[in-house]
Amino acid sequence: MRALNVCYLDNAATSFPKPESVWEKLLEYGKGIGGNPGRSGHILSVEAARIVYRCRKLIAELLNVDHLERVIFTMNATYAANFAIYGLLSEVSGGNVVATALEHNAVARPLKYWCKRNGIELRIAGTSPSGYVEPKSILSLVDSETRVICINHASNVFGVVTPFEEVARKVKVPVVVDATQTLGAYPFDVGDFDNVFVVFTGHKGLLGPQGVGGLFIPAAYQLAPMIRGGTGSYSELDEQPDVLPDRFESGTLNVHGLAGLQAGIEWVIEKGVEKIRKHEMGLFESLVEGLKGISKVRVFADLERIDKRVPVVSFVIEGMDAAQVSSVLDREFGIASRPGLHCAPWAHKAYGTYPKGTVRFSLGPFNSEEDVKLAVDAVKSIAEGGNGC
Amino acid sequence: MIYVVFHSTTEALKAEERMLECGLSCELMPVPKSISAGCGLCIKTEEPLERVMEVLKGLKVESVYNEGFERLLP
Repeated sequence: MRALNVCYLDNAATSFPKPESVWEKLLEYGKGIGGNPGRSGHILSVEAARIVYRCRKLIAELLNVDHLERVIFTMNATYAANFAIYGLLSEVSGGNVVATALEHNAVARPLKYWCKRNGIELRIAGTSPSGYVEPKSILSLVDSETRVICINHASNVFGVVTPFEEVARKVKVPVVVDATQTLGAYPFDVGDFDNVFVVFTGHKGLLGPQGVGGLFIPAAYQLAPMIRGGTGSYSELDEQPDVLPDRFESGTLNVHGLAGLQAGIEWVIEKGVEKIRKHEMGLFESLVEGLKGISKVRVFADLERIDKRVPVVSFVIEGMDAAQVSSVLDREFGIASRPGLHCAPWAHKAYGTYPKGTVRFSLGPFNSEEDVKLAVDAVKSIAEGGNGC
Repeated sequence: MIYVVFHSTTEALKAEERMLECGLSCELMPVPKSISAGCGLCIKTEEPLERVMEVLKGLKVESVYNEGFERLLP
């Protein structure tokens, strides 16, 4: 499955290709249903609502939570992170927030904004020499004044996993987990927690179309909504309803995207997260070993704690600009990668790769050993100076 | 025949799913305007009230009306 004969190694940006059923389901809704969920009672509106409902139920199943109405859909993970952070911080003042040094700007920027505005101290848990944020270093920053803990579940730049469970079970404060790089691609279970918020996207590991993400809000929390508007419920009131998910879903949802996402999640559940992961991590091992074998290439990944990694590899070629390497990979070898800071300047600062950044390869369920071989051979060729870099 | 009204579309869909699983027939429809000014969905069913409420236990039922739009619950 190749578009323009491209070897696609940018799955951490968005997964590609998607299962065929994703597009079939999207078209089935677009051509045959098309109604606005929860806005009318006619059959097309009800069928649209059923699609949204099934999608919500599938997410709840993946998270292993009972209350599917506490899964709210947004346009992407960034909106979901903003909803959580706004809800938890916009009306407090003072105290502190603890976050990992690996946060993406989707979390870092709203955190920075609300902390500055409300006089909240922002405490960052750094990485250990091996490149991980250890749970104990997060816990060491938590005290009685901590309002929120934000944990990047897996770095979109370096692929390291921070086991949020080890933090969440030891604290009472809300823990916002950015699962953008993990849900659908890494074992995930928040069934035993009452303080874990989950920020997710639909278009990466869940293999849905772009334009859908969401937030799981644990039952103990009633947040202020960041957006207010029409919900199809309590229309006689000009104040935002309390009922979930409506409180956080003002305006028409992206039902086309949710229809596709439903099929994406069903594909993931049918294959099994563990099986998908086994395939991807097998390729990851070959890729890391291959890249490490090239002189002048510095690889920011190892195979020592592979159970705490997602298949994302960052590297630099000594003396070469990351964007230029990525461009040659694209133009001369037909390999899609992503150079630069990956919207995560904190992570690059933690690894000492700021401001130049790295080149990133990220694998998905449709990659093969052939893709890995192509990538390793191409990097070797560029590093050895055969391609005018 | 009774109308069961919910706080949200999601809750109405949950109720429909549960009723069908329990072998109770029902139909999703817009909430009649004689009942509420809102624009949500409700469930219309011929099943007996007690049985319906037993099956829907734990769900957030807003109210129940009879076919003459008289409030039965709460």
